[in-house]
Amino acid sequence: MSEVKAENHEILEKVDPAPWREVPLVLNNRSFKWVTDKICGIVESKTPTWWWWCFITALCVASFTGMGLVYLVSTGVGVWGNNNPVNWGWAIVNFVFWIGIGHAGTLISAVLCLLKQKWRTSINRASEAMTVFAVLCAGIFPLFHVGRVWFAWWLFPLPNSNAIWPQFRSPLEWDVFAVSTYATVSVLFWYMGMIPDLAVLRDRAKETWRKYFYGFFAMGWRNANNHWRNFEMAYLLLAGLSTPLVLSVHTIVSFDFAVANLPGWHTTIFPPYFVAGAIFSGFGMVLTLLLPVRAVYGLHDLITQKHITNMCMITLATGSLVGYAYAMEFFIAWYGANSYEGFAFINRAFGNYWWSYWIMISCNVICPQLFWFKKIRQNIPLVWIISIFVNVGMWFERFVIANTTLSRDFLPSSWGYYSPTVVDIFTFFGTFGFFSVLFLLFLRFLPLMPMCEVKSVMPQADPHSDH
Amino acid sequence: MKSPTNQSVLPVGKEYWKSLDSLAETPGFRDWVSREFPEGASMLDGVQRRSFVKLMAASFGLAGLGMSGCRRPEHVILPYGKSPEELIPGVPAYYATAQPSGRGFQPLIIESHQGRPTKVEGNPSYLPYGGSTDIYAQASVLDLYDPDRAMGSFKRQSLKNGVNRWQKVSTSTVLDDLTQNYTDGKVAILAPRSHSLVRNSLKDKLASKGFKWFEHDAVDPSLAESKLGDILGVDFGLRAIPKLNSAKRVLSLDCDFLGNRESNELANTRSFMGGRKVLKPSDAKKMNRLYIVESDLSRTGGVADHRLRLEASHISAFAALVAAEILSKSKSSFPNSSSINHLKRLDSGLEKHQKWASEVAADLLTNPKQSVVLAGSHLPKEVQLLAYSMNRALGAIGSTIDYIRTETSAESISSFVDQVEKGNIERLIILGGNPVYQTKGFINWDELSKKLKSICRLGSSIDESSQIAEFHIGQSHYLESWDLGKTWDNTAIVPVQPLLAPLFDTVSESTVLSQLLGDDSDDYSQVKALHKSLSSGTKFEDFLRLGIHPVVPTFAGDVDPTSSLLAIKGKNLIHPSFSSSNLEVLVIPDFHAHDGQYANNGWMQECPDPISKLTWDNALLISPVMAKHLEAKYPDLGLLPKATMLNKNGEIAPDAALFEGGKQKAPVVSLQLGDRSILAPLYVQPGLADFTLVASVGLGRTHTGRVGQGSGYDATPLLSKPGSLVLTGASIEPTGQFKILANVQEHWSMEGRAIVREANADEYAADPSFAAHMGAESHSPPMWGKDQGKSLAEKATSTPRGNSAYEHPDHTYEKSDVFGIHQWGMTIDLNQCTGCSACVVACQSENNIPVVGKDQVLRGREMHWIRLDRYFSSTEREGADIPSDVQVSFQGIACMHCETAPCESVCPVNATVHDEEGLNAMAYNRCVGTRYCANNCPYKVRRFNFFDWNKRDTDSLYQGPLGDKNDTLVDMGKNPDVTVRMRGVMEKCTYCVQRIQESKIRTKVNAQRSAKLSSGEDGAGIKLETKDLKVPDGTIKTACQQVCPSDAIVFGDISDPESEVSKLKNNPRDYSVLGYLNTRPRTTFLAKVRNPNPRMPDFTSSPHSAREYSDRAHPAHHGDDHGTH
Repeated sequence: MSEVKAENHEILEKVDPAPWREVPLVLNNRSFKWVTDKICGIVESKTPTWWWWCFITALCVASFTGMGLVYLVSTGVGVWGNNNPVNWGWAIVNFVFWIGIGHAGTLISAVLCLLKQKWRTSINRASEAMTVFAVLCAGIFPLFHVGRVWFAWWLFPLPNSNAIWPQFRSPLEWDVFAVSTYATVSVLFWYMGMIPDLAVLRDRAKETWRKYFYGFFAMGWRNANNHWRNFEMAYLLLAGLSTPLVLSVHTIVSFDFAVANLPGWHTTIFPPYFVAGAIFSGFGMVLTLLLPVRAVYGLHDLITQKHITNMCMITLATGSLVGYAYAMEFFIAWYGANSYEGFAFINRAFGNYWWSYWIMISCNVICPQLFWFKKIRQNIPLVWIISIFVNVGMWFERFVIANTTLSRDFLPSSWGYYSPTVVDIFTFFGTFGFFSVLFLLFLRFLPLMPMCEVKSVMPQADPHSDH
Repeated sequence: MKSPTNQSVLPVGKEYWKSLDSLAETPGFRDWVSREFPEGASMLDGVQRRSFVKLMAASFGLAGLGMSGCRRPEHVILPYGKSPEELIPGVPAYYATAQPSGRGFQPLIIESHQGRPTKVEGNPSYLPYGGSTDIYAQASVLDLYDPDRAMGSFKRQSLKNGVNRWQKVSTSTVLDDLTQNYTDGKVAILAPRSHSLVRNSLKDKLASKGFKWFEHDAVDPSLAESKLGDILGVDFGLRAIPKLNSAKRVLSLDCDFLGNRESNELANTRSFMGGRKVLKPSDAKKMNRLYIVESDLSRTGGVADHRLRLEASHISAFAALVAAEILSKSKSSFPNSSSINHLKRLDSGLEKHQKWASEVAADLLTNPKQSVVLAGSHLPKEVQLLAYSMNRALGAIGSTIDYIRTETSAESISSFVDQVEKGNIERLIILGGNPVYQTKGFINWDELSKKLKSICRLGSSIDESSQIAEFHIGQSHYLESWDLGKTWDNTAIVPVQPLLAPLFDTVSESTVLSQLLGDDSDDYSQVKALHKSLSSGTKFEDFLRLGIHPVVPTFAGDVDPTSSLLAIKGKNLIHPSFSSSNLEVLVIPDFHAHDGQYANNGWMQECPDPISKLTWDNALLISPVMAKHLEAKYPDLGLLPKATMLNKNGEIAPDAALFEGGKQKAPVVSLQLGDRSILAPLYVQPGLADFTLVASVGLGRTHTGRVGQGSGYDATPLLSKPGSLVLTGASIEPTGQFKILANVQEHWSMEGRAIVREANADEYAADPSFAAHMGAESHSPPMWGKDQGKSLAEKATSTPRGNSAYEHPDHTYEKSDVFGIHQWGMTIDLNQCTGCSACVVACQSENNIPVVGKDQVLRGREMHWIRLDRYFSSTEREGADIPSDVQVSFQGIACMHCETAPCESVCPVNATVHDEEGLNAMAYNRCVGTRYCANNCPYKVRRFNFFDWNKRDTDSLYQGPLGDKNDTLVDMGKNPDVTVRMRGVMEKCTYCVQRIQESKIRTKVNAQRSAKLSSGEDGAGIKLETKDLKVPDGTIKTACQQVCPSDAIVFGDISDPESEVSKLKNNPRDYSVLGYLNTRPRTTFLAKVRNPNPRMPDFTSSPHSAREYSDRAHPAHHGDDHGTH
């Protein structure tokens, strides 16, 4: 028996099919304690000097938005470059840009959660934070682009003395609902996922303010089994709830254009094309943010090459989708045989804003194709640079859509040209500061990765992992 | 009418508004206020204006005394204790008056709200103008409230640095000074030409007292009449008055008879365009035809069926060419063969135009007595004579043209200079006008004024001519003065009656002249006396009410031109050929400022030039050929568009030329003409004669108000003698500098889109519904469902909006009490529009549309509710070249009030909604300003208040709350029936909803009144029927419609099948712009019909724009067969 066993064992040794060895999501065989120390350490350690420098710089940059808005509201929309054919200039471009960026967070946390993509755990918290902050930045523009911002509350269906409801046929009205729903759900999702980690921080806290601060937000989390059971269920439900939002928000934002009757806007391809573009730009932004964070905090074991590769691949896929949509727009315009439509697209490529079109094409379609190559995916500085190109390209996509169409629409007599003013540029520039302020505060005070979820994908979490 | 207030109280400038405040500061006034107030109130019984003003001041003062320290402005309104007769608060009063000008008196009706004139309309009793006005009359009301007016009289003090300081003095002291010092017999009066009978009578009296009278105008349409009289050898002038309603063929020799370069624009437009109304195919045969030979592209040229570009200097020879043809072939006994042979010898050098000329002559001759030849007033006397001879030979005189006898005009400014040199004149009174600005090209005023003892100036503003005067007397606006004058055609005497007492310490021209005579009778009694002497029978009050007293003009009678024709020397006609280094300059009055008079008028400055579409500037216009010459020599000028992938397809796009941030950079050139030179920005204008430069006078003023300051360039230094407007031997040289021009329509071409639909008369006769066969909707799926075959008017009222599944209210006439009694709609006949742009300013005046300034126009934020689009189209073109021969199409675009309005569905706050009468209503109060509506408007007619235009000074818009506020004087001219919009809200054409409401109310009041009378009942028992509440067709006229001289715009109820607008909408020429979008606009257009002569060398079987369209829409069908489809 034992011989047989031995023999068998020998055979087994020989024929043992090499198990499918998944690339570990946390490298170097780290322990749970290491993960806790690493993530909590970022929050608990002394504020690094670089943080202060970045924070102050970001504050200064953010003040540009503040000043821009004060000037805008006190003086009039005229301080921007908008004019009669181009009534929406940078404001709406920036709005769509920021909203698009806000897409990756929910996609990563909700869609990937439902699809059981374990690699999401290291990046979902930061992406969700990015989503919330990007939506905040986005919200500034549609709010302040209106002529009389003090009456902007009329867009909400509040019973008021005028007894007038908003107009529910307007895509701008849908925007109000879509964006506010999205912002609410994103904040909820982000915050709820953070509760166990906040409790960890509370339990580790030495200073009183930390005890109270994290204690307050941890909402009495005791790591109890029923807490975990409720948490898991709520998380799953929220993930299910926010998955359609990933598709709906940008679909509705695209309706701002698609519902209008202008050549180049009035097209059914917009919703899928906008969603693809939003995911594309969202992942671009996640890469732009997390690569430096990874380097600064030494998170190489948690955000691994696998994460980066996956994100590069999604970027490649969505970038190609967007490229397909660009081509399809031309095809539809030709196939539809509407001369106004045909002109709108020829004008995009070769008209007065031809440069912006080609910036868009090179950044959005050509650049991501580099991700076909493993060497490029593994070259972190290059990935970072490409991710920035993606962001630039997606901004230009919105610029191209908004401006080429508006500046050259139906009647040639009213054609015009739009150029931004200093106020436009500064207000937009300032939102990067605003975003950075929020993101830096997030890094400083909140756990930038869901420790519990990271641990759950580590080998130690699986009692059978050795088998 | 004397100024009622104490002159010394009124401070200058912005202070005037506080005058009551400063009055309240005087101790005497405080005493008066401190007495029991009711005592003062009893003074109202007398309805004395002075005491009324005092009372107003008292309440004002009380507010000021009691609430000093409170920052909120207090407005105290004192109701009338005893209301003036027939004055109903809120209901405007209308008075007949007239606008005096060198181009004849223009009869007007002025709308006045509680003593403030707000809107100018034409007097419909004067039939030749039919109730229309020109653009200048529309804009003139703004001059009354111009904060830069001379608000009183001033004494000049020269400071050391050469700057003049003006010290306020009372007008009565200046007038006293005038009576004392200007009586020594060596006094000259220099004035612009006028048709005032009051001035004429005073002039005669002054002449008898030894005053010398001189007249000058930079652009003087009366010159033609004296030129003709001169060459015919008679001692009177012969003024040509075309009677175009009976003309079938018109040849214009550089005569802009439909434009602002000639007089009588309104009568000419009305009568000429009346002959182009085509409502049925048979009308196409009767349509008149216009040939024009011109150097500039004028509005008349834009309307013409055949247009020949020719340098103005060659037009004399061309006239001889046509004249020889006409005189030799005409059936009349006149003239003899010797004069024909003589003419034939004169026309050398223009052989290439022989065919054009002979075909024109042949066409004119086939319609004897129905043809007319018109010559531009700037052309030499030989052309005037040739035109006269042709008209005589054609039998046109008395039939299509009248020559009326006019007095030879006063002595010219040249003899004034001579007399000053001789020492015959020691003192000068400059009576209005602006001679120093206009004549600096040939008079050195600095030197001349040294030879004079003193100069006194009467003028409405302190301008260039005031700078040499000791005293400036503020001149009253015509709405503040009494006068009496003749219309241009001498068929009517019209009164000028004041609408209000002078706002400031100003006087009229006749007051000054009477003062010189020592006559202290006021203007009113002079006008009254004069009226009595001119017309026996009519009461003066009736005359004022009607505003017209018809008279019969004196006709010139038949003058035989044969001997004068024989006397024409060849050298007078032939000119050397022009080249890029030997150019011709044509000087024209500027569209914006005319001769400089309107330079400070914001409405005029911002109204785009109809052809070039430039605002706030004039430019030196050059032809595309000349631009090419220049580009070859100086490649960096950027005058011509660079070839791009887009414009290779046939786009005429100067917007591909040198642009900076989307704004057109015009190279500044130095124009050399002998020893004279000016600097001017270039603008390439298709349609110009190859080597003609077109310069305009009126802008580039050095001393004007805040509005006109820095606008345009000054072409007056080019003028070397009075009346000489065609100059030769010029050359241009770039300076390397650029000027940004504010052009509201940078794109010239229609891009082959069926926006303005056109056909030739023959095509129209063959296919009256050609317009329906153009545009995307002609081959898009039917969008009207079962109603596809119905007429547009029917469809608009009966077909559910958007074919919606929801029940649609029945809009038909019989059931119209269900939902909206009227259904408003408009048609614009593109065949009637000459591009005069009066509608643009009329709308601005009626609807309180703000002026935004050049900077904001450059940013694309002009606010005009109606936009007059101008498209050029051409046939043959190579690559990116700008064509030389173009056809012009005008199209007025305002809110179309779409039945399925794209703006309405995208407004998130319901600020723009449809009302039950089909108006696309704009609720300013509800608007938050998302501007989505403006984006989604396919016609781009919505205008956004990017700034507080009405509140802030245009120079300090960007300073926000820290910026200067607008002068409140302008607010007095605002129409109180229309909301003044604040920043951040959208606005657009409302179909003049205030006029609609006013008429509906009046109809209802009348219906109630007659129901009460007939039933004897009163109160709630009366039930009015729908038909009683219907406003009769034609009652409501929108502001643009009312001003239009050719009645191109018709507004009315389309649910009434008998209304004019319904009938027009049922015309097969009617079409919707961008109809394929299914917006179902309530404003539709009647397609344009041109009437070219198939025998002409430049004949094309379809209008250029129709060919462009068919080339784009059906690229396969290249070739000659460009039909209607």
